[in-house]
Amino acid sequence: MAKPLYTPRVNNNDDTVRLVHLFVEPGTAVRKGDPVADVETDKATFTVEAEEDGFVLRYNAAKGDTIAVGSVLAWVGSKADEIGPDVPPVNDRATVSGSAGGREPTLKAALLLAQYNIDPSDIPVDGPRISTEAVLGYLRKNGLSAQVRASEAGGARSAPDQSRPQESGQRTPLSGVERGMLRTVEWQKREAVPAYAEVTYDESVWKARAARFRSEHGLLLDPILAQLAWELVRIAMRRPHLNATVTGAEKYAYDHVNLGFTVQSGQNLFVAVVREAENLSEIEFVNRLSQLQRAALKNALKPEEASGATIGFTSMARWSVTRHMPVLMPHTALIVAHSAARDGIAALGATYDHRVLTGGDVVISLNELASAGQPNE
Amino acid sequence: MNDIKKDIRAKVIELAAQLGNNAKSLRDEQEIPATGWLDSAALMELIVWFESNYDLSIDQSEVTLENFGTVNAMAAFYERAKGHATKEGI
Repeated sequence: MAKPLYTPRVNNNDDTVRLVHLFVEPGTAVRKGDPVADVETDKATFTVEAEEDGFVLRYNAAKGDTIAVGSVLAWVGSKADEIGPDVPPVNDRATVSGSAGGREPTLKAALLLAQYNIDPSDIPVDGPRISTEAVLGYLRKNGLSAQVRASEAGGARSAPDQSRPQESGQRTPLSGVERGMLRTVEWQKREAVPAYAEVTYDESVWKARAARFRSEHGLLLDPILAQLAWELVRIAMRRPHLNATVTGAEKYAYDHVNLGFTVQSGQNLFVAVVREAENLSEIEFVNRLSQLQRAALKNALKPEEASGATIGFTSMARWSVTRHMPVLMPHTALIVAHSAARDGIAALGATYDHRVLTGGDVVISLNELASAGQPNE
Repeated sequence: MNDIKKDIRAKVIELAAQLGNNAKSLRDEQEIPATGWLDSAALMELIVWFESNYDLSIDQSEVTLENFGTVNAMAAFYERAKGHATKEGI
């Protein structure tokens, strides 16, 4: 059944937005969190993301159109050839809100409603508009007090930055890759509770393992990073809580391990995703990752090869960086950071979502990864 | 053939320079990864450049030390790929 994707409120005082960019054509598959469209006002731009996996069936407006906040922006269905309801393109959500007395939420309340996927009509009437306090009260009443504390402490989805620099300068729209980076960073800021831990290890042991493997398979490229990533996949299979996230008040354990690996190409940073990595042997994984890295360098990753990571790996060793704290990929709980060694001793760090993992979980896993360079007895 | 080798050497020197390494003394039979002038990411860039510059489609299984380890090996790979394409009338 087709589901609507609504036009968000970007600024408190703007009841309309401009549709400035469509990321996918009708009929295209999207995954939850994938960008679908950009809308903007004079003050800010906001990326509308798919709320679940499916196909974009059609848009109710064209690029450049001015559309009402709360109207149906697009329809998303479970099949590409599904036909979405024929709904007028404006004020649809206002009608939905109307069942709750025609009240519109304040900006912060709207963000909370979206964050916890709450229907506005569920919020009890307490004034002409749905207030933040009313939404927080609803969360408390429904046993979501932890989320309320996070929201009150500023952990709720933050509004787009509407401030302007005071000094003169040039404005340039963000590229697609830059928008992707922005979404990643904003997801961590908005949703996760990031923390960092690291262990140190003797790099020569892992280097020796990589050299043996490279020689055995006649590889051109040093496989050490791919092998570390493959071992991380094995650890995530043994410790499924590493391959999980939190949505609302639920823990979400992924069925498959999709390893996201950062690839720098010129000024751009891509994430190449080895899907269902748990089914690949070590050499299959190394070759698959190498294939994806080549595609990333050619800017030719397919959407499914650049999205859907459930756990992450990154390295800054080539720039001789000896420690770095990466940003979590959206909807993941762990990204391992590989760095350059100093006097043969290297740091293996990890940023993790403290809502999902403890420091103990992470340190145990990092130690397992570090010691996996040892030859099997 | 000599032009191709010259182009490959120039690309290796360029990529090495980006990492602060001087690869001007690279010999055609010298194993490129063993020099340490290019790391894995730079070697990957070399392959992507080679594929694009000579309009080749390289299967992952072909990205081996044997095929791409030296300037000579890369030039020979190009000759084989070109010969194969000509035979098939591409």
